[in-house]
Amino acid sequence: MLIRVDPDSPRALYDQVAASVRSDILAGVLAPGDRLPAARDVAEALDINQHTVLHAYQRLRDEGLVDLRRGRGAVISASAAPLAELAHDIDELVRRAAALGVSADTLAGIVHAHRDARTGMNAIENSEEDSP
Amino acid sequence: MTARDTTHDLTRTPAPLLRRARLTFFVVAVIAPIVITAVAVVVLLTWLPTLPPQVATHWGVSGADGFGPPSTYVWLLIGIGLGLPALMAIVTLASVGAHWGGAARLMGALAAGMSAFAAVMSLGSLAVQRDLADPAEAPGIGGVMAIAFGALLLVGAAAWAVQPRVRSEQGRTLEPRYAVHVEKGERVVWVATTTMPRGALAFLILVLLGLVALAAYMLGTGVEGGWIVALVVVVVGFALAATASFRVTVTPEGFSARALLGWPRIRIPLAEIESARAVEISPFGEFGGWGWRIAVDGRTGIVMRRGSAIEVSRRGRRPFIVTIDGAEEAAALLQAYVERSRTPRTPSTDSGKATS
Repeated sequence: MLIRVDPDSPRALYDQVAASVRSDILAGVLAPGDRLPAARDVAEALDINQHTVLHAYQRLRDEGLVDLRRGRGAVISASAAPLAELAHDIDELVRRAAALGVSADTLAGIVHAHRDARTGMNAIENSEEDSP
Repeated sequence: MTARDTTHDLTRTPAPLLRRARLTFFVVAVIAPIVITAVAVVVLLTWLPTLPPQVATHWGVSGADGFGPPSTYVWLLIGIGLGLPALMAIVTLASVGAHWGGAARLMGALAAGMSAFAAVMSLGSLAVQRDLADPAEAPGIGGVMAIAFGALLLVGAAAWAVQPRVRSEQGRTLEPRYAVHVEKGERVVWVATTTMPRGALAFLILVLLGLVALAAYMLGTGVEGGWIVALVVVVVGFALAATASFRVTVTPEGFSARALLGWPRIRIPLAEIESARAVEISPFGEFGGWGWRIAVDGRTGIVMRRGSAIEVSRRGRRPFIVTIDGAEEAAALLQAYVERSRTPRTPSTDSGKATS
């Protein structure tokens, strides 16, 4: 699995690691059931702190993209599957936005605002209780 | 470079040769054991009336010490003479596929030899006991065992000779589907684990358990050489634990692979890497099996399964190979680092690598 970080970027390292995994899910490189490499190995390779990687994995868990289980590590969850289906649409949207002079960041902001506005309708399950 | 890649692509085994190799393998590894064992069983059954109800079935250092009905030998014959060769044939045919090589030929020869060994051993053990009043008076078994091993070698050699020689097929270079770009200041790494396929692992554990049983039996009955088998068990067990899974990383510093136990491990610094590419390899054809291996052409590698592998060409040394999912991506990244280290401080104006 390819992981990119830019230490000079203002973006937090954990966020970059999470984004790297997310884009692999989006690209279909990672599918449900695939195991992410151990946080220790990733940290060693990236030359960053292990907790930063764990933070990234926890973030992905909160987004429902991975399951974190003791002893099994981080596994791409079944609920990550629809993301790959959206990949094409997102690609197209970003490209059209770029053609219209709208940056991806702006687009992300709009999507975020959109979500906030429709929070009641969207089933964002941030339930913390574990599945059986 | 291009010439080498081309030869990799052109050395596929011709179909008629492959068909002939498979057919002769089937004859020596399946048909021959069936015929040999059938004949031996028929001979054995005609001998049954002339044999005492109890015969010696096991010999210790000081002569016969284990006894049982003569039918014991029928099961022994079918198990070693037919079951074992059949198992070897199935495993070979299933794992080799279209990648035929010397290793498959050897398995075929061994299967045929094994059935001859079983037939001679069973019939020989009974032949020395025919018309014997007391099975305890059974003569020594050394001569019979020597003849049985002789039969194994003879039949094995014949089975080896009748099979055609198929030069193991060289791995095909995989098309680089990925071109990994590394932006300035960015740190891109590739981390993955390669694990032995479950089937292969189960088979090896089965073999290991068989060896454990053999060692226990040999030590328990005081047969000479029991400790050698026990030693083999320890070595095989350790080798299995050490090589069942490897973690592979590609970083700006180079390539590294490490067993989960921490050893064995290999680290190839970027400065020693000439190039990296993804290839398709066959464990049986090129490496003769699985594990940490050295191929006929001198390449070393961690070979877990058939399929895609990273091939790291080293300066002044033979290439290193590791089979792993996503090898194309890993090789592309490593190659990107190699190229970057060769052309320091050059602005990226490579028009050939346009974005997809």
